Amino acid sequence: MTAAALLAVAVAAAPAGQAEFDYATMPDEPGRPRVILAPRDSPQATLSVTFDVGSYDEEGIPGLTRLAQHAMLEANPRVPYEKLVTALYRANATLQLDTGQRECGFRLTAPRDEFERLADQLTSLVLAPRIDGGRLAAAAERTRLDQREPDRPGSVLVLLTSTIASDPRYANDTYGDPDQIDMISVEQVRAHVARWMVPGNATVVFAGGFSPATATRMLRRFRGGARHAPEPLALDLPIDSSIGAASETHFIAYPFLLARPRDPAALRVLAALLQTRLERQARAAGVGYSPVVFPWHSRWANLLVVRFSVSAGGEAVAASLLKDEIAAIREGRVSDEELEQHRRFVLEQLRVVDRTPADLAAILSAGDGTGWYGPGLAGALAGLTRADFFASASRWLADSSRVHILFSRNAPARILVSPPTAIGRRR
Amino acid sequence: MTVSLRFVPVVLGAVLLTVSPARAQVHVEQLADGMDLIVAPAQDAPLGSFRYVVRSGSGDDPGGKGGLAHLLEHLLLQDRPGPVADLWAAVRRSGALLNAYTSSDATTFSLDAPSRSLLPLAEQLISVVTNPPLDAVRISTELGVVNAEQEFYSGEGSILALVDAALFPSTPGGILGTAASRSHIELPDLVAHFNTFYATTNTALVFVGDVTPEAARQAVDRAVRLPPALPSERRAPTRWTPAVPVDQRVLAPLTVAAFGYMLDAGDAAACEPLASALGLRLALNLEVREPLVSAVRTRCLRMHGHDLLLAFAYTRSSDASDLPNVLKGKFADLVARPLTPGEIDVIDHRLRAAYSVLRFDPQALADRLAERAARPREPEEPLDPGPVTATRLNPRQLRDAATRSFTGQRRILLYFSPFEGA
Repeated sequence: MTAAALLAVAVAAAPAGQAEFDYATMPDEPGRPRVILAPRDSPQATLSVTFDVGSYDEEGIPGLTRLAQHAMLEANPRVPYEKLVTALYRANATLQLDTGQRECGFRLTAPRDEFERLADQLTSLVLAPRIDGGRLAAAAERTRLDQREPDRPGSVLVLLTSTIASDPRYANDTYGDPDQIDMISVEQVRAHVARWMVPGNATVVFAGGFSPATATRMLRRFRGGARHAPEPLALDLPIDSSIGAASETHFIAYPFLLARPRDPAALRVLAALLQTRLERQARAAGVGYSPVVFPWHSRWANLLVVRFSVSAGGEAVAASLLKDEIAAIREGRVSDEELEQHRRFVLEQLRVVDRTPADLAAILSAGDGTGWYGPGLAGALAGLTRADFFASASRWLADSSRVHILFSRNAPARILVSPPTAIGRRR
Repeated sequence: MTVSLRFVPVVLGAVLLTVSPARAQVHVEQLADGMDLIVAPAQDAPLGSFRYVVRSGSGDDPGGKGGLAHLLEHLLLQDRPGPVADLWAAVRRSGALLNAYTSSDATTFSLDAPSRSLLPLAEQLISVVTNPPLDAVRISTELGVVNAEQEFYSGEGSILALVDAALFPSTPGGILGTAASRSHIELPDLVAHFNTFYATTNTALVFVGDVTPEAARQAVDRAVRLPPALPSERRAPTRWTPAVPVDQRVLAPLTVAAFGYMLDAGDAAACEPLASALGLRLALNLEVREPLVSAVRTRCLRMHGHDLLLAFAYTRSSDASDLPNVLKGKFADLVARPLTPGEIDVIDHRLRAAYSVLRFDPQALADRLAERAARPREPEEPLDPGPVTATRLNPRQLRDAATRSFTGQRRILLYFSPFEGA
């Protein structure tokens, strides 16, 4: 795309981007990042840069992706690392590194007044990196020290997919092996970056209080590399497995396909409704604290995920109510009032997400034109009929396509693992 | 419901609360029944927040019945037919979030909602909390819920709970209590606790959003179901004596060091700038120049009426046994090595940046005001909503505060490691 065309898109995006759930994308062009702009009236802005590469793609060099991410920041003369850390601290900004199985990313959130300067630095570092071999040891040391924060939602998904996927590459540790990080050479890092962590394999999202014209100008500088779209997660369904653990947690997942225009709305309502019902029943029975249900939508996996941790002594009751509640929704045993409550709940919560730059960037970075997010959402929710909802819900909640992993005190210890615990929900 | 020890993120340091250039003033008044009302109006804000603060938490649990305040907090919002179920249904319909937290000092009911729903939902919540049908609650099932909470509760909150337990070993059983202490709690205990500590004079209501003080006052008038408390019922705060110094090594799957000091009573206002200064030096030294940790965060905490400044350092290194000493050295460095002009600029700018965002964040501002409202105070002492301006950093005052507070007698260390401890 020419500079003029990019600017034209950006200018067009500015007013449209203010509309609820709206965003603008640049036409795809080989060698250019996929670009999503969602300007909002916000005191903060977020820049998310995601590459379609993760621990799955490391070809026997564990921790290569994570190390490459650290090297982009610490072994990269474009911006001295100490200067970057000081600038982030001064602005009260945050920079988060995420490393998954099929993607890795950088997410910067900063006050509006500071954002564009920091975004300019970050895009230079990660979309046009120059890896300095002399500084790689420092980056390796940081990678070796990385302490995974417990209970991050990403950890749940990594655990789930590494358990259910037949392809062993999904079991690669996303942070690598601390004892092997030092053995990775600068040539290996450079080769990994040159193949995978290139503008052409990146998705860049700007969300919140920023200027689309400035963002577009910023991105015009970067070009190169090819897109490596990850193939969808292959599962041999249904999956039913028990794994020995210190406490009891059910993980249930249903693959979903967004086949109808109202499916993105229906799926969110389904997740909210199932969570409410599970929580109410678990609390009424005194067997659970805070079940979590959420749709995981990415470019390589689409799963409705349920995580239900059970107190000691409540195992049988919990298993029964879990089955009953899922069946109730699958079979349409839900009142109109309940459905309406959750339709409204989803709409209002989406509005909160739409006004929160970090959350908005996270949701848009998985965008792929399926209508998962966009201005049509409000209408899709408003027009979601009972028949529409249950047609989709019964399709998604079929037992034949279910994944059920039970981490149980009573199961044999097939692998040593502790299921992650609380995520977010606090009451 | 999560145990949430009171902490004030460092980013909220030295913020302006009474006067805001872009938004209206924070309004503070005491209502006729003794309740404190705090309103931070933000005209046209799409979202709003409400906090119902009871200045009593696990610190007031009776001996042998640890976990009572937390269990009561659960029971007040236990979903059962009637007003509580109506509240939950209205919350869901409005796309709002309702939650509750118990700390050592306070019990807080928290509502975040679209602006148009804030006042009606706050009214419903107030009337539920001030008129609970305690005789209808199901204690045994809620005990099961709390058991699950205790079993699966983890993360930084549990580190803070251990800090609390180490500093105040005389408090009965921590915030959640134990399964044994909870099993001794009966309905009359809950009723007695409610009648004693949920009095209007022990309560503050915080509104942030598109709400005027007048509208908030009217909503409160309509909703409160408690009788006004008598002046004689105003409670003086319980004074707890911390067991400093603390030096505990805990065997754990992760390596985390929590190191810091209990601040001198007169130095609480210096905590946030101190935390910012310390955070900068720790980040540059332990993350950049000589990497020892994957992350280090500084926090100002308030426990049982005492202000603490703690640094939390995380690492996957198997050779981190020197981490407590390194942290100790960096704290001492704030006394020995004055802040440079460059550091002062960074810290000043950071605090102002934090404030500039806070003004637009009803939830964070409500939490901040609720934390201030929850602080124990003498019966005749007026409520102080906090600092009023992003005051300019005074390096001399910070150094003096550090000199007074960073002493061996005030030191706190909890070191979690897979390699040492009990």
